[in-house]
Amino acid sequence: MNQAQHLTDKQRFLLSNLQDGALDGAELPQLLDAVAEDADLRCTWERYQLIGQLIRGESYAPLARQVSPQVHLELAIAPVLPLPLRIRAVAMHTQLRFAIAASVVGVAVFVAPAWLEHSASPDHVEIAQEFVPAEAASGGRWHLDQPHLANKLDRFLVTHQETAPIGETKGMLRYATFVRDDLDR
Amino acid sequence: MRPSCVMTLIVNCRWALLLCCGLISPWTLAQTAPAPALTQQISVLLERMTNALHALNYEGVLVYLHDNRLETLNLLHRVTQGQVQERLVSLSGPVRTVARERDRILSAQPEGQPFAVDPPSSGGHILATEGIDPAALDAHYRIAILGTARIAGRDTEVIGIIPRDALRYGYRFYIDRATALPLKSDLIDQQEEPLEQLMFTTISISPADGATLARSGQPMRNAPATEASSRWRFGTTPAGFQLVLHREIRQPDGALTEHFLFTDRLCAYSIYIEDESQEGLNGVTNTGAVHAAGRTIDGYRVTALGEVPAATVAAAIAGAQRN
Repeated sequence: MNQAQHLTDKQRFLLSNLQDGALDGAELPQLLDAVAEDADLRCTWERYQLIGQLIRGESYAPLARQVSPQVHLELAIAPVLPLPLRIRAVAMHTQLRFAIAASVVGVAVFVAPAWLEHSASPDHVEIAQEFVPAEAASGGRWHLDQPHLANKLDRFLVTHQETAPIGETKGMLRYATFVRDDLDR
Repeated sequence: MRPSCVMTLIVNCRWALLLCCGLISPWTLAQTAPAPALTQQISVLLERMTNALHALNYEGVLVYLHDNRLETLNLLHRVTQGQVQERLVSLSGPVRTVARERDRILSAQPEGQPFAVDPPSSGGHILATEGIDPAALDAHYRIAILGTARIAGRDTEVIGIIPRDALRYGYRFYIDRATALPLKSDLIDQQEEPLEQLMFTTISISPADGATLARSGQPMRNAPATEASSRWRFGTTPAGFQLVLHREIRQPDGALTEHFLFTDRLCAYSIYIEDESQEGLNGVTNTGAVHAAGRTIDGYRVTALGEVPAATVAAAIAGAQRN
């Protein structure tokens, strides 16, 4: 299979859009997967970047395009530094050691529970990762293709804003999101 | 006590002193709560701000910065004979407007159907929010006076309510010294990066006609956590959020929807539950900093929505279970 067959016009078009910052967000995951799997597509992406840099008159380093081989090369030629057989213990007064130990205990007893409480629980992180973006339209409120659903979410949002604690503190500005221009331009 | 006695006491008690230093230092460092006097000062400022928003008549032009876009809005707030009239209109792009007349919210946008949301049948707000109580926020926010700034030609005090984690947003309010109106408000994340900014460029302010506003309902700032009395329970709510309101609301098509409001006393999200015949959201979406997540559970549409991060609404509906 030659390169022309392998790289579809659509993928080139999407890469070009990505380079220009005009790619639809919904198409990005599929394109990135394709680029990750296809070396020819990566070469095309590099060529597009190079063309863009030249058109904009930016300087470029050709070797910077070969990051992975360079990392391997540097690792291969890097000198191996042996660890000292025994790291000499830092002379430390017993009382200072005790104070440091007490500090660690203090951190463990008082700070760690508060820190853990303030962090998102692992359950929530896992749960959040299960959710995927709803089928997105290119623009419009809520990025939805279903006007009735977007309308319903708007009504839900008004009802929510009317009862949320921050509502009265923000006054009418709580509704700024309703008058924003969400259409892609 | 003689100096020599003091020295003897220090030498004899050095172990205890070192232990105290070890234990107290990290404890002290971990505490970032403002002093009570500062909390009181912030509380007074925020209360004045909330009162000013309702009690004064004002009209002005705002800039609205979001997603690297800049828009201009016109805001009118008028209190006449105890009734509030409010209107927010976009001045750039297609005309979009939200207005409040006698507690009824009306919205008109070129890309959607105009709609109106009526006030609850009991009249007024279900919960009167009465501003922000800084003392109740300390677990999840750091509150501070950040300095002063000049906005719309007026001097302001800047108050920051900065979230301690990524499950909620915070605010920076630029509060007019003379009237206590917020002339600029930034919605910020945990790193204090602004997500949205609203700022008056011009504003005219006048006192209202003096009639007392009709306010009703239990104050939200003191509202107790409640239990879901329906057939739904929410096992794992995002840290710090509590259920404070549960009610049924009737949609324009006559369908009944259950509404649950969860809050950490500043940020909030709502969960709406309808039967599956209704059109519903699957997945996560957003409009600006407002995120919504939806899924179907046991034949019911469950939608969570609020000005909170996507992870918060996603976690909120993930914890919903039917009894």
